[in-house]
Amino acid sequence: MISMEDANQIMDALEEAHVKVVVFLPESRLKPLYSMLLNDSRFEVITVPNESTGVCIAAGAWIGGKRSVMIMENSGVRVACEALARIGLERQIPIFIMMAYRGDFGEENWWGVNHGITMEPVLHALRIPYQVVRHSEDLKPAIHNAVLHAETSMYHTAVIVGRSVIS
Amino acid sequence: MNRYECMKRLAGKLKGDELFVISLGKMVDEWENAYPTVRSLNMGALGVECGTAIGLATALPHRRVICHDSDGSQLLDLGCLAVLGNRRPKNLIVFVWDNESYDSLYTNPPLPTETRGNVDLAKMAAGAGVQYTMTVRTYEEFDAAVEEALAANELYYIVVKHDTSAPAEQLHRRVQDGVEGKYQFLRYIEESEGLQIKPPCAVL
Repeated sequence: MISMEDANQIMDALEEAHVKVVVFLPESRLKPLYSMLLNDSRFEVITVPNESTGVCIAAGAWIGGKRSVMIMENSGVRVACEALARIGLERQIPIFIMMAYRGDFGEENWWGVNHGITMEPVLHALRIPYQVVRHSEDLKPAIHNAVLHAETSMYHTAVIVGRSVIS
Repeated sequence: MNRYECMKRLAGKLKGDELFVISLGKMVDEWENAYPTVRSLNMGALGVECGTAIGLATALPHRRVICHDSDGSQLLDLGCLAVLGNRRPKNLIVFVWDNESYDSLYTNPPLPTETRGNVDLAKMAAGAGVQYTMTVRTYEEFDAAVEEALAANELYYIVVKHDTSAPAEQLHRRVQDGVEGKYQFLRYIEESEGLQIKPPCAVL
């Protein structure tokens, strides 16, 4: 699970990048981050029951002038695949995604391995540029770069928090 | 009821600063003819409108957002009902244009969605926590529902049961593709809200 320090670092980076709307579907690896976000007045937090719903909300907030992020487990990119394709490839409305990397090399749960098998191929298929963060000190620059690159390219970007940071 | 006739009735009751998120197919051309405006964001897909409208309504809580969704689209993203019911954005009205069919192109015979059976989207929305839900089946009921929703400052979820008939008049096609339409909408938001959403160079 991610440390409180790293969760705080992520929230500070989001604030520095002027992210105002945080959408998430919680999971265990980033649990401290979700808990802290629910009590942090810097962000409008929207919880969702489905990652596809979540990326749509993030897109709507962005085009309304509020930078946004969708935070989820990496299995969510499969669930949200159709919406990401429609919103990104058809409309070029950018969505910034943060994901916990389940199934990263060294995964200890049998059911988590499949998330790792599919995540990068799905991101490649959707042409979503991403950075896997394996050191805590890279979290902030990765988040800042993903926000910038999304708006420059008018396309989705992703930051994936690797096992070394979330285990 | 004919959908285009309903849309014209709705258009006649609007204030003029509402924002619209709309689905796909002939519904888009019908709305374009009933109410031509750069304030309409055409999403061109099923299952993405309601979520996008929730995000837009969250970002701009002082603006009225109207979502033109369909039965097929709502059924593809039922997760949005839970978000609607829990958040109840007061500046959002969701119209579900429900022809009980996967058909917006006036073809025959239209293939059924689940709402042609036992599924009742208004009751599902109510069960999810949306307070103001209704299903309308006549022009009189439609007019009354629109007037009530526009006068209120509450989330409304209105299922409009209409047939699959074509408009009685010839309509022109919306020519903008998704990207062009997106930019039209985006630049209108920037201008009307005094925002820079997509500046020449991205800045942190």
